Amino acid sequence: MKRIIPILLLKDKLLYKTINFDMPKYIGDPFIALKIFNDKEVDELMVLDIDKSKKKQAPDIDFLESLASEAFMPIGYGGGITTVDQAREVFNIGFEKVILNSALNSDFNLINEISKIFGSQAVVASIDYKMKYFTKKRFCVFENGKISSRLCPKELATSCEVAGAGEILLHCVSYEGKMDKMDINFIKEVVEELSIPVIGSGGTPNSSYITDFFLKTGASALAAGSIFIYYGKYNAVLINYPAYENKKNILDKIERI
Amino acid sequence: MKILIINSGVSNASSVKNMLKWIGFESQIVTSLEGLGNGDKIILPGIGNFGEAMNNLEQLNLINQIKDCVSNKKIHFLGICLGMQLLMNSSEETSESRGLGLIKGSVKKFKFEQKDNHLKIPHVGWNKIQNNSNSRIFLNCDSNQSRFYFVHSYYVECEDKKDILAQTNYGIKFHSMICRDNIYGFQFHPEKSLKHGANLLRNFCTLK
Repeated sequence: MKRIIPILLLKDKLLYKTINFDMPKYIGDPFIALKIFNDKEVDELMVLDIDKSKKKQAPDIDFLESLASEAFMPIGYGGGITTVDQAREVFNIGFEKVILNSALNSDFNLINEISKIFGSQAVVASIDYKMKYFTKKRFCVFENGKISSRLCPKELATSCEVAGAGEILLHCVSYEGKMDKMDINFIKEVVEELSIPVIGSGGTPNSSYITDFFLKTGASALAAGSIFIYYGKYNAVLINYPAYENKKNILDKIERI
Repeated sequence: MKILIINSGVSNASSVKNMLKWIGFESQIVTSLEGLGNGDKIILPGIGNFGEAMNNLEQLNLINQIKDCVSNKKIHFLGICLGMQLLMNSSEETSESRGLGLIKGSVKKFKFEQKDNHLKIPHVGWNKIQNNSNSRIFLNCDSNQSRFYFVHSYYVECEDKKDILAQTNYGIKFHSMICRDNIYGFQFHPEKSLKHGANLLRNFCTLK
């Protein structure tokens, strides 16, 4: 069954939302958001600390433990994980998955080391990429978009699969937070290239776009921030998620085709 | 009533404890089973490798303690995910160690025919159950509405069909919930299946 995954961005233990990985805007208390997402029966959650890699800090285990203690759905964490022991701690306190991004650049072996011990289903490689304005050439970025590289996101995704990643989170920074459009064709290319599940992300304009996203990309999941945090045309902060019945309608349509 | 959650090394014991707390049950994470009596409960969660988990249980001297609690004292026992698979006689995951042998059957690896090769292994994600019994464990559980979170590459096959509580479809129909007397096994993670999992755990914890 296709999954719809809210992404929660943390900074100093509070919830923020960015545009193009920049201009973090304060949203609220992550515990309240988590409680609402429990009630709304989300498929899965991803929690990303957008400060840790940039500041070279380790995951905030005590804080994450209290967060995990109220998450009764599958939940993944990313931000500042640089060693197997840190990943082990994150698993021990109740997360199912670790999400790696900066490590893909600084210590690529970490994917393999973690997946060997905890299984590939526990490792998500988050591939963040930007697009050149005129040529649309795509290139990978790391450390919350601060480091640019020449790596092609599709090639990096393939290497991550070979190294033992269980899933790829494909995150288009150029579209992130703009609620305009997603990088549909490229996501489809990557889905067709890989045999592990691909989660497409970045730029989802609204929840009626979701059916189209799945039909056109074939991705296993959609991850999004803004559409689950903002509501209405003035983007008021209101945590929301399609009710199970609505979601089932969306997904049934896809499975019929 | 005491609820003990066995920590067998690689496990998600704290997620189970958190979920139990959410639905109003205090529990303890333990590495030995002592002072248990009528009405108490034991939960064996587990992730990882079958052989390694059996080795860990053996090193902690837990195999005999589990058998004593379950077979002699008739304490209610729930195995989750790998913990369910450990209840069986053997697993294709390892030829070196036997399982607990508390329920007859074996653990097999998913293998899909060509036509089903779009199905990935491990089976990860939400899926339904078809319940084949009127066991008390299904109290308030509408299997049309309920869904559960699975993560596994191996599945249980019971020898005695009477031990099957529910089946799930993933390429094949496998046994996703089993029960023999006071021993239960769930292949999915009730502790990560929102209110649907909470309901089954509540029913388990209130078994008499």
